[in-house]
Amino acid sequence: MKIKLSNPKIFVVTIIWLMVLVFFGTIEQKYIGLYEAQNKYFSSIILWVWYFPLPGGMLTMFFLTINLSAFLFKKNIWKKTNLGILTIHSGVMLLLLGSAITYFFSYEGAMQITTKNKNSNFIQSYHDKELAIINLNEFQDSIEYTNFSDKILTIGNNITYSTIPFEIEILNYCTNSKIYSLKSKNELGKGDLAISNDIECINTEVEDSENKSAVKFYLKSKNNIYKNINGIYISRLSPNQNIQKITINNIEYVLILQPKRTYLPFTIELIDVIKISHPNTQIAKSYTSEINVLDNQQVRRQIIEMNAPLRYKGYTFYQAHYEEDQITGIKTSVFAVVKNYGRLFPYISSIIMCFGVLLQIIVRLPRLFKK
Amino acid sequence: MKKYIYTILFFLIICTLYASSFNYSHIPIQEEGRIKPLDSFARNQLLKFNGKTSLTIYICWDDQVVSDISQCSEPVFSSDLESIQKNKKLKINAIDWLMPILIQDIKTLDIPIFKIENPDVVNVIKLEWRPKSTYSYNEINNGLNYIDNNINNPQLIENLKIRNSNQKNSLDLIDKQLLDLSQKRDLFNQLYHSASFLLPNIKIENSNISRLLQIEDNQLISYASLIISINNLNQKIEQRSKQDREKLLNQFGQKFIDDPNLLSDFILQLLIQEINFDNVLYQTDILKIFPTNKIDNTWMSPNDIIEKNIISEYVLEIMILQNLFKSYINNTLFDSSQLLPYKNNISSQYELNTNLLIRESNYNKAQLFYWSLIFYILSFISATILVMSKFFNSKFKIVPFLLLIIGFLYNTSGLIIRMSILNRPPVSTLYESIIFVAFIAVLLAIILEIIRRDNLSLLIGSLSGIILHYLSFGYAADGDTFGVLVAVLNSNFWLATHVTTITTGYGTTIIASLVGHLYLLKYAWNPNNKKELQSIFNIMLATTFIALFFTMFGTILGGIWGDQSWGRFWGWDPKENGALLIVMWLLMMLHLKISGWVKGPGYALGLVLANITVALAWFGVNLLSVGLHNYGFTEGAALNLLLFTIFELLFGSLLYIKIRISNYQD
Repeated sequence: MKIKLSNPKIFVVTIIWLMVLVFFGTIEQKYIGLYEAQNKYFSSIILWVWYFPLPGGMLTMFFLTINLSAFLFKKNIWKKTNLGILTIHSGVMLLLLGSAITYFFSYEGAMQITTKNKNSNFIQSYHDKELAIINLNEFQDSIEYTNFSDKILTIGNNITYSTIPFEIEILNYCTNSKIYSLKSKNELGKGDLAISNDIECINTEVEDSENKSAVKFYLKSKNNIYKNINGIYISRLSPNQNIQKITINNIEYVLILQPKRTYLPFTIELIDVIKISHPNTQIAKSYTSEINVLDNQQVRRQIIEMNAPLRYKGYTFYQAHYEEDQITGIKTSVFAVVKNYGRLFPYISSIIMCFGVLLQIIVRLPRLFKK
Repeated sequence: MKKYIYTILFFLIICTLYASSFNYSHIPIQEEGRIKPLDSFARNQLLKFNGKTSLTIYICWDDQVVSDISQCSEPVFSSDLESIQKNKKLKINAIDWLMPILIQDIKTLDIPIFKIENPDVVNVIKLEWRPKSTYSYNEINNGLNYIDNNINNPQLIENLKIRNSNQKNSLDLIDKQLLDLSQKRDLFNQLYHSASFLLPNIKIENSNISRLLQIEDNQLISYASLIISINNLNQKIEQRSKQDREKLLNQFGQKFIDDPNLLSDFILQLLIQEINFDNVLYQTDILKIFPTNKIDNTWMSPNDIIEKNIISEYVLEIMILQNLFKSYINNTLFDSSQLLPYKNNISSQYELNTNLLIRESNYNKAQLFYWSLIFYILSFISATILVMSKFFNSKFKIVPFLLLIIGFLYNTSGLIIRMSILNRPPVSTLYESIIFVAFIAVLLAIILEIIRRDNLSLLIGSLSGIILHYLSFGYAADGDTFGVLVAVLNSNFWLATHVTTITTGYGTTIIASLVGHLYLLKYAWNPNNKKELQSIFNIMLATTFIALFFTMFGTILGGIWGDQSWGRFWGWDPKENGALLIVMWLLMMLHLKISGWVKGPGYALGLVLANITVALAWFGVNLLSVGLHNYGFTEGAALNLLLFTIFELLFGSLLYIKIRISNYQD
């Protein structure tokens, strides 16, 4: 028996499997968090259940796409009578294509600005981390960054870069960590943390933002010139992170583990952020940020509100969060920043699908309602 | 002719809602972020204590107030047996329950309103379990004071509060309910004292002072009017001529001329020494009854305006409210026309639409959704009788249809009135979405009936209406159904498009599913009527298309809303996944049919199960965010969901198996 790729039976089987994935992926969000569940069920190629490999969400959707395109390229399918069906299917095709583009090419992050430090020109990734090495004296008025993504912070990896005078050997990297004090001092330990503490990897939190990532590394001066800096260092992501400072040849370097930054070609300046509550309640009625976009000496005033984002040079800024420190009165506004190349696909495909379904309904429904 | 009947019916329903003039139950008050009539406020408060929006009590022959007639004591002498007949049942509206509390009628402390669901809690606070399990303030207060004073842990309630604020979910069930009860007690206390500044409970013994303030001797006045009188006195002193001032100077000394306030302070001090303010000085801000100019501003309670010393801005309101309370205290009739200046003032000075207040109060009274439920039930019963009996094709056929239409009109007018009051689409909360889905489901059933005229669609429509209405009452008991919205939902356009479409999708899917139920039933009992089965199958297919249309576009519009609001089209959020599940299920059904894997009964079975996906997407995902230690209604919801799922599974599979077996035997 020969089964064609466009067979609707393939669709039935894949959609059932997708439903199973969506169902369990949704339930497991409660236990492992949205980010982990998404990686495990929806954007994975293989879903591992114990040691048993099953097709993941991405692979399933790939099958769906193959099935769908096979349908569209079927012989003798492009007929007037099939017009509604064909329109719907090409709409779905476009939707899947758009989601693939969004998944692979878009990036998103958060920009956090307080009324105290006012300016920001970078966005921080929600999930990816990086080890930043900051040269404080390179040029008197600017700072040089060397950033290593957490993708290469794997145990045993040796990393370095031409502009920095040392090498780093990763001893341990944890997505979520616990810190504990050593009974006796670590003789190789350098920096505040590493002298008498060590890190231990623990299970990740349900909310990925609550994970306290940490990296433990051995830092070695290139060609062993400055031996006094050699030793073990620990950088740990926490609200009051101990910043590791080393001095080589009168140049100060700062080592810091931070959410991965992406720099924008312009700067956002926060003028003020206001929260309005429904009277007498804690329920927010609106959040409004007043900002300036600083781009090449040009200043443009803008208002960002819930449901009214700022779109500028392909980036979109959404009002995501608001905080006010009761003691200092410093207000923090957090914007979700997105650059999405597949943005328009859902809009176009939904119009196409809407049109197709209407066509189908007009053609078929009257006949079905006949007695 | 029929058309005229429909229009008249519609207008009758609408008109009853406008026919009322401004009375005390329409006095605006701000609660939970919204301005509402006092009537709604009273209902919400009573709901918190009693779980209902009106109160039923019994007054026994010996004037004892009880919640159930069986609690009336029996007369000691047999000759008094007649007196048992004097036991009276009373149904009290929320507003008539609230007013005596506001005027601090001491009898209200003995009216049983506190509902306790758990017998263990009753035992803890040393009360007796009784039918209806409602208790009065005095009983609750004594009981709670009893644990606070006599049990090992002297400050149990305080302790519970601290534990609860430190770590949520650390309390066990009884602790939680005890804490809840103590909060209700505090709430009652606040209500009881909330209007005290406006009540005439101050008596000025010193006749000199009362003459000075131009108050009749021995007349009781309220704290607010006392302040107003003092202010008036101050003004008079300022306006006095120079000569008079000099006279005053001789009388009181230079200080009083330089600072006019000194005199009033002096009088106040005298008063404080003389008067017992205990009843007055309980500070509570629950009764936010004095409007402020900006709409976003918090309104003022009697306590607020005295603290902020802006009492002079509200003299008119205070005087009228005082008269209202006075007439309640003296048990005299209050003439609603006295409220006219009040109404004019709030509508002109504070730009409040009093019609909305009246409309909301009328909406509360009309109980439109109870009426629609009653007519849906009547329609269902009559349709069942007609379908079962021989009258099927008689002239009575129109009866269930008309009944359904009447119920539908009630349902619709309820929705329209809600929209006009809230100025937003009627699908922002779970409660609203249920009512809206009922509307959509019945609407679709009516359309099907008009096309097919076989009374079967009526069964489906009325049944879905009944179930959904019943469900909605559970959610209405949670509190004010006119709640305010959080920031992200506060954008009308996307609510109007996305949420309306997706809830319409729920409604149409439910109808498609119910047609599936019908098909299975018909097939199991009468498999030989192929023609009818085919026509029902066609409706199944048609409703599947309609349901797919709405769920699919509701889901995509949801994505677009997400993209507009926070920058991602799809985030695998439980609510999104739930909607996606329905879409995928319907897609699966259609392709199963195309691929030839299922025939009529199988397709119907799939649609029956589609109901489960709707229930999961609609209610199930709300349970996900809920911890394991949650009790009360959410647990009930989880159980109901489980029972519903089991029922649908059994219903579908049993009928399907029966059909397959009988097919096999043939």
